[in-house]
Amino acid sequence: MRKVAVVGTGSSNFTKEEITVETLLLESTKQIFDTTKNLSQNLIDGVIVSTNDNSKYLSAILSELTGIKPKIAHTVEHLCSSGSNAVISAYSYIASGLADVILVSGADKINNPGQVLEWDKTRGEFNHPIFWGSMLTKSHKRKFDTSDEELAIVSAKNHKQAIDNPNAYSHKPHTISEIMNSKSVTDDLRILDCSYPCSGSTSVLLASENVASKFSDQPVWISGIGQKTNSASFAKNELTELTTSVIASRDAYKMAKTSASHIDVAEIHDAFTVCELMAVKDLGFSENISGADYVRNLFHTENRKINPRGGLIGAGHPLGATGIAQIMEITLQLQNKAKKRQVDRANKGLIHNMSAAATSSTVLILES
Amino acid sequence: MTKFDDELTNGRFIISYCDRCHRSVWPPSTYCNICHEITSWKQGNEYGQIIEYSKKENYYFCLIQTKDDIRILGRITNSSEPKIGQNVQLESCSYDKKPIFLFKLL
Repeated sequence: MRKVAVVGTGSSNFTKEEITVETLLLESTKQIFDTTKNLSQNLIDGVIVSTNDNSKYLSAILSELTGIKPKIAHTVEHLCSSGSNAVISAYSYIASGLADVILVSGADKINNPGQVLEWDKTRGEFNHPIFWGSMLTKSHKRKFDTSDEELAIVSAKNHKQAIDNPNAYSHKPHTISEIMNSKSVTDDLRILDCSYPCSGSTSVLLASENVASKFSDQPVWISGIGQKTNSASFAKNELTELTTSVIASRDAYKMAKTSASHIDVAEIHDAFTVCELMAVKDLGFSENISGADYVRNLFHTENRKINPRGGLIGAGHPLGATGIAQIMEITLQLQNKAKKRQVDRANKGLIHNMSAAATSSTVLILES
Repeated sequence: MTKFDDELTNGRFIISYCDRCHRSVWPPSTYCNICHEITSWKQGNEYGQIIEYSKKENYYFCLIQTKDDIRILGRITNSSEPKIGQNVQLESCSYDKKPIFLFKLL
């Protein structure tokens, strides 16, 4: 297998405006062309689009709009983790030798259809994500004595970190008290415990080890990949563990020959505040202390190791773009280009992206 | 609309069942997801237990495990707070763009 690197990144602003998915895809892709050295359309072998949008043939449309005539062109959809899975598809084409350079572009608009999985009859009338979010939160409180304040710290941290992310949909800080007293969604969720869909697009350019240096002086290598799907329906899930994330991270660490203790910076799928508390434990970061204590310590020491761009809660959640935005952030961190968000001495980073209450998870490890 | 949805519309809760594996196949499907044998329909067991619950506005919603060993999110018709492990009974079911399951506390 050939090594594969991220050699270019681009992102639109994340916004609550209704913008067509074609416009969004074009915006982040144009940034790749504007900022990647030696890149021309004829060097791109593949265009993969990640989205939950109902529009069809988007990879061909994006190719035509940008003057690319790729060999490989198709869409990847996997709900909230469409983006990271699209990047893994591109990785596979390049690692196998079928392609050298692939553009992966993810986008969704604010009212995208990926928020509700209609097939899942187990959810009954409660098919919106807030209901599984409430079940996970209530179970976490029950098992770990998690307080509302401990949940609110996740939101306060991620909103604070998003202030330094120019693409985030909100730059407003929130105090712990504001979060705990924000509008009640259910008895176990406040509105500021939730990530929210928005319009946005992020793109990355992937290249093989044979050509990566042509496009970037600081290629960031994909060294570990783990994926796991246990089901599509929520009701079969464990409520106090992100089981698929445990398995996906184990496989990613093994492939990268590393462990959680060697990860310097991570983007974690904080769909709800409880998800970050569960993920820091299930990915192995808070091995000897509770997830709540681990995140509280990050917050009080202003350590941006987890979700430096603000996570889904702070930056917004345009489903098809989210996984790619996480990969872009870790790439910038490992290139020492994350400006005010920069984590010191970041050499190894992790991306955690999941779908439908962690019925499936994807984990990637990147290295400078 | 599937047969499952049609039956719910008429207030009947059915589940798919594998006669070879002697187990429920849930969510409903044409084939068993273990042996791939064609499934049959059977009346769903209306009794179950509360696995977890929360509250929205003035009603409780719960994850319920029924005696068919399947799990469903349903609404509790009582106003009193449920308990983990509490027995419940399906009071009614229907379909209005999505399945609706109403349980009462026992």
